[in-house]
Amino acid sequence: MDELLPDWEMKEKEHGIHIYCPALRNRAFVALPKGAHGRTNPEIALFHVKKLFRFFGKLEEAKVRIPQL
Amino acid sequence: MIIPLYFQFRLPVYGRRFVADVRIRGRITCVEEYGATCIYGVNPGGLAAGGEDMNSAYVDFKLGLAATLFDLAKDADTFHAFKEAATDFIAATDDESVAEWEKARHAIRAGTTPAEGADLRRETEALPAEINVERLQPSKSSPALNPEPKVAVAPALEMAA
Repeated sequence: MDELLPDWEMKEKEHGIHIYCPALRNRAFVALPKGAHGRTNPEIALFHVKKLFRFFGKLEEAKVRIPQL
Repeated sequence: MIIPLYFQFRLPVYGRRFVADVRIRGRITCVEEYGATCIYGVNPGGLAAGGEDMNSAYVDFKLGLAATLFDLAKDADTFHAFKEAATDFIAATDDESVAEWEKARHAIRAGTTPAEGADLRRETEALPAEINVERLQPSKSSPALNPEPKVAVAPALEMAA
């Protein structure tokens, strides 16, 4: 993920992870909630990755890189 | 097929020395991809969810939305700080998600996307995303504030058309 979003800032919360991209947005973030079945870590599904890139304006890059994840 | 949807969501959120009544009307898109049914937030733009079908994906979305609001409440020192953070989260979006939602709505209105399969009420008005965050006072507490229990997705979702 560092390679995909070099400017990202990850903040681990009680119920999930909030990912900020300060270089692109100030207060906005993408939330990766913990799974609904007691998993302790957020499930990083492809739709989360797509949302990350779309939200932070790098969808074209995501289209190229998502299949490699 | 991309389905443009409105959703309604209401939740009491507990914070430091406050209880907030959060009511949201937002916009999402539902699409089949990655071998799942995916829901992408338009408002809020910073949230995605998935499941085996629209129902389970929407349940996942609601869980994610609630979890995010709970985390914002934990970070907030005051009710007003929570209200500001929650409002910002719901308002935040991205141009591509908005454009996709509008394009999908246009396709349904034009009849190029079949709307019958989703079995949802069609909302023809263009409704803006809204969030209302009110501080609940114990003296104003009432059973009437409890939202209607709903299991199915359809009562809380409307297809934009």
